[in-house]
Amino acid sequence: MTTELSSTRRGAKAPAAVPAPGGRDEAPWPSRFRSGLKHAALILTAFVMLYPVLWMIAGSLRSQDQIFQASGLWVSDPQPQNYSDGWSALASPFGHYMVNSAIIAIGCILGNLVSCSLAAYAFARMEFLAKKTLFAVMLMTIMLPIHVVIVPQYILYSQLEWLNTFLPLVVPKILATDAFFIFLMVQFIRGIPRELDEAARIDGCGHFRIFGRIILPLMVPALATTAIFTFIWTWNDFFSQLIFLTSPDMYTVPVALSSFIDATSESSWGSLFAMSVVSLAPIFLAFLFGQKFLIKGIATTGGK
Amino acid sequence: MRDSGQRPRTVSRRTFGGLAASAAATAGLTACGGGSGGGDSGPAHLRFTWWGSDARHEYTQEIIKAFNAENPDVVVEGEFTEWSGYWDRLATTTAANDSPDIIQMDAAYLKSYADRGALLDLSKEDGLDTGGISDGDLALGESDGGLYAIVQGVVPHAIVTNTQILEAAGVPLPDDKTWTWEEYARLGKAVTDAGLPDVYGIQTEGVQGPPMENWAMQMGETLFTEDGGVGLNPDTLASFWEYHLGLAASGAGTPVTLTIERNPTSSALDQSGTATNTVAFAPWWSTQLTALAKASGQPLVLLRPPAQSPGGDPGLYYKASMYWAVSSRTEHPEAAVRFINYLSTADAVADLMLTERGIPANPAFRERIVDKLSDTDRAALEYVNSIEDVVNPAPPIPPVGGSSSGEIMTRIGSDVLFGRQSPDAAAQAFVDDLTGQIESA
Repeated sequence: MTTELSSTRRGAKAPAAVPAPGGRDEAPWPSRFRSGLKHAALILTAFVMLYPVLWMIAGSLRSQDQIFQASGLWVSDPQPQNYSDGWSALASPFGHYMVNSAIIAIGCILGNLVSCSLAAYAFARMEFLAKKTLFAVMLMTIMLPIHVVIVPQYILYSQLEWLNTFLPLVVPKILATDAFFIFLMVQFIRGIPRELDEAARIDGCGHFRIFGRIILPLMVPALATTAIFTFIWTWNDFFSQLIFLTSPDMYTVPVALSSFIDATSESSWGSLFAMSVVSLAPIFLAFLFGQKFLIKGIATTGGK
Repeated sequence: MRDSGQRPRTVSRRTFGGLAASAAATAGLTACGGGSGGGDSGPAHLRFTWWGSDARHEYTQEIIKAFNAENPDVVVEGEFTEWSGYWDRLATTTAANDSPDIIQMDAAYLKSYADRGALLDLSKEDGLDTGGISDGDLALGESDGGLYAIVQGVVPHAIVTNTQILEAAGVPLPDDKTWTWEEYARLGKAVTDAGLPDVYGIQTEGVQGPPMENWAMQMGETLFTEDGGVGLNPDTLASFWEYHLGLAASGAGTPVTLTIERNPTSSALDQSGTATNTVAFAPWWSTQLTALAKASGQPLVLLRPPAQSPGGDPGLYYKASMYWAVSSRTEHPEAAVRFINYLSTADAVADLMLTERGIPANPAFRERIVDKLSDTDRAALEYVNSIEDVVNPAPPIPPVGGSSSGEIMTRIGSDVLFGRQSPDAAAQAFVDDLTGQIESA
């Protein structure tokens, strides 16, 4: 058994190893040149796109007077204390604000995953009164700018005495208010063959069973896309968090970051950039681990 | 210092109007909810909101603590953000009838809030005590005969001058009691011609409001009139632009591109020519001296703006750096007034605030703090005292719709500086535009 395995391994390796160097040599020169050129252009574009981020990282390591006077990305005299200064510059350590943001983000992700997938199942697979109208109404809510709804929302939450808690930011997500994700999931579910539902139905499944056993496992890419986008949008959201959270203890990362800057007096730019880099890390990680699902989720929805 | 007149305004007049309208539509809902907060028993809860930087947040909370200790029947709670978020939040909470009880107010927004009935007329409240603040300074908070806000600090225009650059260029420090715009241009040219690397004599202006208002005041004009119209003569504005175009063309002032780049509405104080030691003269609000000196690291002094003719009117006036106002929806007007009295007169406030919110309007504060100040802060305070004999009465505060003057100035001023519009045509366009904004408000 072992010899057989190792021999197949060797066998698999050998043919791959032999043509490789030859194949490379045989590649026509113009095509190699062209692909090299393409890569150079892509790398250059990527660098241009990344430059602001790189500049911010460089800025986070510069001293206050160097940030706007030194040009380029080279940091001659790194100031890592920007990070420790920034971490403790505000009323609470910066980690406190990251925890606040994380609580809201996790709450929103859970709320969106459960409520949007259920709503999407209903729109994609069930028949009910005024379904098309309701679907259109739901889509129209995507187009409402936040400025239109913020005052009525504020009054509502103020009456419920929810101001200065995380509830106004999390509870609406449990009610499937993010129409974009419902739309995304509806498109995804429409792509799943109905025969699977029908087979389950013959086996005696009701809607909840079909949803739980058939649809949900198949729509993991859409769920992952929803989770990642919810995370990024919630983590970066500034306006509603600014309005609903009034006490500094409840501040989230974007609101806390904004208190570093003050346009007409001196601002702690070094600390601001350092903490911006720190607060980018979770987003970066979410992208890094989630990008496979993200691409799958987008490629498999609506494209058929 | 949070007091330069021109800043990006994220909530426009229209947004505010829209918010106010939706508040009216939902007023019934709010009314049904009844009041929150303490009734007759227990301490009165007051919410106090301000904008600012971290240093301000810290000492303001100390002030609140001191007040709460002296007034056990009142509990003040602080809410704070930076400038742009502040107006978003205040507009939302005001529209929702849930604004904080005590509001730090800016001249640009005072009339908008007062005219819409969001602020309490303090002249009708019993027990208001603002100490020795002069009637002229108190008038800064008046609108349509009502007193809607109490001025905390005042701040005049100044030319911030880098003496180290002057010395290096071999240019003597001018006598600011007699100098004119002509001399200003000549000195600026001399500095530029001295050939110090990257250094220009003068920060050319034309895209921000305050230097233009200073110029208008020298001509005896104000941007707005008492009855809420535009008081500026287009010829005055055109002459202002022509002068600064001349500075840029002769090399005395910074080139147009640098002027646009350093416009305080779009860039930070730390990036300005004064802060980076690349101009010798630039107009600023006098209280910005400390922040500028810290960024620049070189000796800076405050000079009066040049006059149109030798010994003429330098066009100075005390601008309110900020105010205290009380929400008209407050359930505890008596306690709120007591807190405002405290902010205006208590020694503890003077000691903690120093000049961070502008040079105190209360003369007793000035006397008390003068020895505790840093050199630059003291210079700013002494500058305010030194111009007392030449200051004009403050110009009328912007009417509703008038707070967009800064944006219009930036837009049209850029066109003028880049030569896309003649100063004459642009000045007329500015006045027409601003008039339209006010009329449609």
